Amino acid sequence: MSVIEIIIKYHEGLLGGLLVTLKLCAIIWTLGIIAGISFGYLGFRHKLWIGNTLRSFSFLLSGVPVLVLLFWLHYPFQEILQINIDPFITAAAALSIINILAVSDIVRDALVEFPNEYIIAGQVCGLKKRQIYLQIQFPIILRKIIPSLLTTQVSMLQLTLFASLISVEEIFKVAQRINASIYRPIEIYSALALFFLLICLPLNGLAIWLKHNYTRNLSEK
Amino acid sequence: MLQIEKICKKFAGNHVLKNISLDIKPGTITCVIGPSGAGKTTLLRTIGMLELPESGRITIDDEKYDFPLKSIAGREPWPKTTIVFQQLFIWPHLTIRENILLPIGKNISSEKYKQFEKLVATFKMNSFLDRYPNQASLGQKQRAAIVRALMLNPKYLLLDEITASLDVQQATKILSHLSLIKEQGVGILMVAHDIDFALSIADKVIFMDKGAIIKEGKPYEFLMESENSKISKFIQDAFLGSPDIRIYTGAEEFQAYHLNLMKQLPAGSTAHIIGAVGDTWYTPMGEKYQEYLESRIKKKIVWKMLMYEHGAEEAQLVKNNPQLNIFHVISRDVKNMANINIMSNGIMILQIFNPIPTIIEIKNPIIAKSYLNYYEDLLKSSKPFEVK
Repeated sequence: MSVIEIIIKYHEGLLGGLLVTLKLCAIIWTLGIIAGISFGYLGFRHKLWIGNTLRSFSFLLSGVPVLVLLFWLHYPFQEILQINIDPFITAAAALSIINILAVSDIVRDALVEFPNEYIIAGQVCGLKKRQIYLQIQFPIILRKIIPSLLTTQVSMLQLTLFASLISVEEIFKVAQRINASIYRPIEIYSALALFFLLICLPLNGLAIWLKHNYTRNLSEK
Repeated sequence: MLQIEKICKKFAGNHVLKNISLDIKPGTITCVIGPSGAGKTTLLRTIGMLELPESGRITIDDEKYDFPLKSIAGREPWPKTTIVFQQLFIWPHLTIRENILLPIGKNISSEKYKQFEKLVATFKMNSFLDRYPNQASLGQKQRAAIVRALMLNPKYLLLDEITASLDVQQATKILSHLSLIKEQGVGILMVAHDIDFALSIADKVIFMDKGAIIKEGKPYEFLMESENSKISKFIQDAFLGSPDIRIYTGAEEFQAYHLNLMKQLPAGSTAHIIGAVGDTWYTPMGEKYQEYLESRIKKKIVWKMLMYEHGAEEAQLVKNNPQLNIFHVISRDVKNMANINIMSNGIMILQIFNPIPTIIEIKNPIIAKSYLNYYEDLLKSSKPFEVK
């Protein structure tokens, strides 16, 4: 049975898995970007309380493997609280926390590293605060963070595979199920690899392209 | 006029500006020089009100700022007073053209656009206008930063070591443009790194050390400085190791130098001479003087000389060749450290005749020009020398 035949035969299951993966991604990406940017900004504005707290969380989390966090939230955490949460929500929560902290780190670092001199140059040219923010700060920071944001989101997509380990019926779990019934690992996992390549490579490529074409060297500060 | 009165500024308890007072008049260039850590950049940032002083007053035309002030919100002096920084701060996400036009706003009047085109032509920027800053050279970015400031029609332009990272050619270009800007009535304050350039274009020089103004005066006054050892050492150090400075000592070298100089000078050229008290130039020239004089008369080289006292030789020279010897007498109150000759080929020599005849030759047209200005100033207070 070829890859195409497997895809055609199990298209319903694969599409269902794909849909779960994309749903998971949509939640992780949306929460990560909105909350991450907000926390990053707040962490920059209020360094002492919000900034340091976020930095501590981020540091703490960097020492915990993703899989351990996922399992911890799925088993001991729910056991301690005597609750039962849908594995999809657990996976979405765990990966969103990781994404939020990663995005807030990117945003906060970009804000901290932004050369104040560009703002001063705007001031002495008579630009108003709003103009400086919209025409100088925002575009420069956006160009700086977009490539890192894109690569982080690609990593998050790849991390969704771990959700299968707590029984989320995402695409990898579906692929495993199909393989268990027909035992064609080469074709099935090749198809899965192709699927990830098709999504991740263009995004990574876009990140590299943006980095080369739109980010600017700020070293002249 | 931009007036600074008794400005004091502290950083972490240290006085970085101590009771500074100075004026910047429209259409003039004031250069601030001094060793690093003297407070030059802090002074510039304070005048530009990027740093607020603890006490004193800054007056920009009719607007008065009495310090201490918590904030200048709503009374910002920009862009009437604007600053061009040493590190340029050209916005990296915009092209050079966009960098210049952004502060003007979206609706650029035809008049403003004409000004833009004129400045672009003056600063020869057409070839790199659409480049991003990372694609432009340092000199190109420097010009862009100046043009961006000029497009705002500032009345006072503050420049922070803008030639520090440029080669001599680029720095010369920038400084020649500054003279043009000055002629348009802009008052310029420049923290200068290249002393020789500063001395050549400035109307007034301020020497700062440890947060205080040590001396304020005309450029040549600094070259002649002998009373304040800090200033004279600073000036000496700035020129130290220059391949343009040579010293000749002893009667033989002295005579040979002058005879050789006479051969080098173009026919019909002029030597401006500022004498020192007790000059006896003819003595170390000895028997070679006649050869020198004949050569000078043959090449029709004019001596324009300012002198304190005169003897028979001067009277004879004027009597025999009045067109070649234009002499004036200056007051003994003017104390010159040495005999100064400024040649038309940009060479300047300082001479001491006793006890060992010594010549210090400086091949620097900029310094020569500065000394020429000194000559012109002294000439105003001199009297023509007449043979009785």
